[in-house]
Amino acid sequence: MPRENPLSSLSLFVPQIFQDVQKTVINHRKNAVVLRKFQFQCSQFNDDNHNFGENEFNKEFVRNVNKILPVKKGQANAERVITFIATFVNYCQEKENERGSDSSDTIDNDSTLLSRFTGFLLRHFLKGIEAKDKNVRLRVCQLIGLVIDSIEVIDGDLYEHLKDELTKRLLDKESSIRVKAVEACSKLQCEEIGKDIVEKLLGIMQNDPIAEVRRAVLLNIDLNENTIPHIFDRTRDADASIRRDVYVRSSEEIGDFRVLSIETREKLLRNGLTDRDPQVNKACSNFLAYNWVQHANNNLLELLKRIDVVGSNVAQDALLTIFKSRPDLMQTLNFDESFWESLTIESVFLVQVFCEFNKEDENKLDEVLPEVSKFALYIQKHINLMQEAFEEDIVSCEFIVGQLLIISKFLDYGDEIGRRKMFNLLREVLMLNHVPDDHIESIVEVMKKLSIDERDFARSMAEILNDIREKIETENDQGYKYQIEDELSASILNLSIRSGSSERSMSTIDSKFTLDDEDRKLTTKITNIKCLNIVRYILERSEESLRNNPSMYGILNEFILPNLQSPEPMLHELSIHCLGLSCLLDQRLTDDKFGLFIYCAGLTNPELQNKALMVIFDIVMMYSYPFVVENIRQGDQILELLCACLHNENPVVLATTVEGIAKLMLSQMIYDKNILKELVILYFDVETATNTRLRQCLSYFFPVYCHSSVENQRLMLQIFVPSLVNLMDEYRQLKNKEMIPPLQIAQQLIDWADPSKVVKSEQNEEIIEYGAHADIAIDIIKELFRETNKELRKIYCLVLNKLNIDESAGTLRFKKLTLLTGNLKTKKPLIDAVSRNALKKFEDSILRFYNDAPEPLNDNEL
Amino acid sequence: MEGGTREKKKKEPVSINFIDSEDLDERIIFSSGGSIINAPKLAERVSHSHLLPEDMHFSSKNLLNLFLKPQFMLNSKRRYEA
Repeated sequence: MPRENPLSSLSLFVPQIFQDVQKTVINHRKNAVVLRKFQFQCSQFNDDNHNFGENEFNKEFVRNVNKILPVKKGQANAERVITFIATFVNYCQEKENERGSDSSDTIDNDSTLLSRFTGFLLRHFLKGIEAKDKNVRLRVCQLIGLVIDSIEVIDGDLYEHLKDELTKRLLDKESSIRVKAVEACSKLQCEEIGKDIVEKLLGIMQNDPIAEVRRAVLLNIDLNENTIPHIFDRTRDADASIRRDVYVRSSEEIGDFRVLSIETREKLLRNGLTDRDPQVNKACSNFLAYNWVQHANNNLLELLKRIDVVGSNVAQDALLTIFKSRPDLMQTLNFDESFWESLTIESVFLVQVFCEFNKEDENKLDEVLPEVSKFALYIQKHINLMQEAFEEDIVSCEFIVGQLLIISKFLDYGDEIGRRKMFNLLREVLMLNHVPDDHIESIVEVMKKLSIDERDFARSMAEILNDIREKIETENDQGYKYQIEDELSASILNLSIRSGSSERSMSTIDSKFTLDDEDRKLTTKITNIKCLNIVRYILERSEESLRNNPSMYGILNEFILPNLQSPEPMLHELSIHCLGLSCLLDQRLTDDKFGLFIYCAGLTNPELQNKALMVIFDIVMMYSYPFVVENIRQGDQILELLCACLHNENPVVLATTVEGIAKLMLSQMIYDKNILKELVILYFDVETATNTRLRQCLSYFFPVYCHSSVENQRLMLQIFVPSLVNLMDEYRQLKNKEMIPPLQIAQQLIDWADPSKVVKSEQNEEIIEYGAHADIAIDIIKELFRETNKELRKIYCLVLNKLNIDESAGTLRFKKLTLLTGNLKTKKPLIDAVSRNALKKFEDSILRFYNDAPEPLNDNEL
Repeated sequence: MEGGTREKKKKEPVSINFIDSEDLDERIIFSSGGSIINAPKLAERVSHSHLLPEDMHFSSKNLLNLFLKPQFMLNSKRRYEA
């Protein structure tokens, strides 16, 4: 009995399948099975023509596929058909895998029914990859990606052809097509042969302006040692969903974080935990608190070994995050006596952060922390270890002591015996020759806790400082004497052996004395630096006036003032710092010394200049600008100094100046439109593009300043057009390179000058001037009379339409505007259509509010 | 009535007719027509790689506190005498 010829029903059967699968995905599997069986039947029917049957099937298949190619993205029926095609190819691959070595339909080792079918499909889609219809380009990229994803082997020539064409589509002018091209290309990245594909994908991830395209790369590129660094760079991508997806994908695909370097781990944590976007922050927190903790056997000590707690600046935040996310882990911690007896750098860090996390909970701290006397013994023990440590262990020992000193701040000092023990211990620590700076800060803070009041604090610290200096002087003297005796003995011995060399021996003794002098100078210098650091931390924690505190005057006269003359830069700068802190506590001292800070701020030493500026700004903040100008000697030179510093070439000095001025302006101590204008110019200046601190300070300052007070915004309104004029002139000179486009600058200025954004306050009686943008418009039109450059005139016209002008501008302003625009058209006509249309649009919008013919303006009004 | 009719039409799902629609001419739908479909600028290296600069988390705290005493809360009382 002859078989029914499937080709006779081919052109009905296949369309029916396509018609069916577009409705729902539920029937896709069933239809794939049916279609595969049909395809197989066709392939068996050759009618003496090799492959005739399957070729007919292939042609019918693409005839139907063609009907969805022009359908635009997002159309549900077309998407279902495409999904079905992938399901079908997947199913065929499954069937081929099941058949194994069955060669009944195999022509040679590499050619199968499926490979011939998919080869035909892919070559068909490649025909349309450069179609002018963007929908076709998108669909063929989409289909190519899905087909490649569903099969296991691609013919070599076809692979190269696909690679060439798909990489071109990575540069398609349509971003949605680029997304599909990325997805398709990612199916071709494998081993050596796909290396250049990976390179191109990495380039797209860095350079494509559309976030969705960059994200497509992030989600599809293989993770390996070459790509991971670039992927992790995306933790700072401009788009928040990309930043978040780095963490989501990492937690899904990177098992144990130990495959990453310590540096990489730090970077991942720092970027994620400090991200402003809550979703990014949360993704990083989950990544850390679940994925990383799990791979450390839910053991926090084990986890801390894999973060460099000693060198890290992110470990503290990481641990606080874990405590917050995983209270279950915090419950398992046990800080018993054996814990304290065997501290490591990880365990001491763990308990320090635990205390920080629970610092408001006195009961919990009491449970965890030993009593003061016992704790002092632990500190003593580890200080002894630190002093005996070998070179390679010093950093660890210092770290442990540092953490213990931080923990000291959380102790309960109600017990007198414990207090005395701790005081004596800390005093002895400060007497040691080498004390790390961070240890000093913690010790001074604990000393303050141990003191009755600020006067007691100053007195005990002054005693310690004097003891330190006496100690070093005693040591120097004894050492000097000892050296002399030793050398004399050696010389005498020399003389008895070689009497002819006596002169040379005496010369040697002189040389030794000289070396000793150098050693003594160095020791003195180190001691002075240590003492000044102690003084600095004392002053930072003091609030009472110096004149009520004789010990403080002693410190000032014996430690700060003598070092002001030091040729050693570090000592000099440190003494300026301490003197500045002292001035914050004593107005009379400020009067005496303010001129010194003005002088230092004028020097060309950036470090000293920066420190002096900080002091000056703090003094002005403390005593108020008007007071300083009128009552402090050389106080009237501040404004001149600040204007000069706003042109300083050193980025640190410039940023400090800007930040300081922002403080004074926000405190409404300085109300100067020229200075505000300078800040605006600096913000948009190409030279400050890399001065992150300056840019971010001003990013924060301008809206806060302008929107917090009508008076402040009035100043911005006054400098709006002059600033824009300056910036547009700079833009013209730079020939449009690198600088932010003027229209964007104008929109930013408009936002800052937006009256509707001014915070309304119950307390102040300020009247918000809603019509103020009309004044800006007036100034811009006046500028249009002056400006001759065609491009700049066009920009001014466009800016006019960005302003918010409505009836609140008032009759007088509308009259001025209509008169000025009328005059402009007759006296300074606009050449190009864009400018003319923009001006007409503006004029029409004005007339909407005030369509009466304007009355003549008298001279005063104009 | 027309509005109602339009609404009903909107609700009907768009269906692709595979059964008895005309074939699409492959030469037409695949035609490049000589139009420009590439944006060569995309191949150019972007200096900042679309990355954010380091975030310094500026806040009011930065602008209200002292440089040398960042933890010090300035109160309204001034340390000077009239």
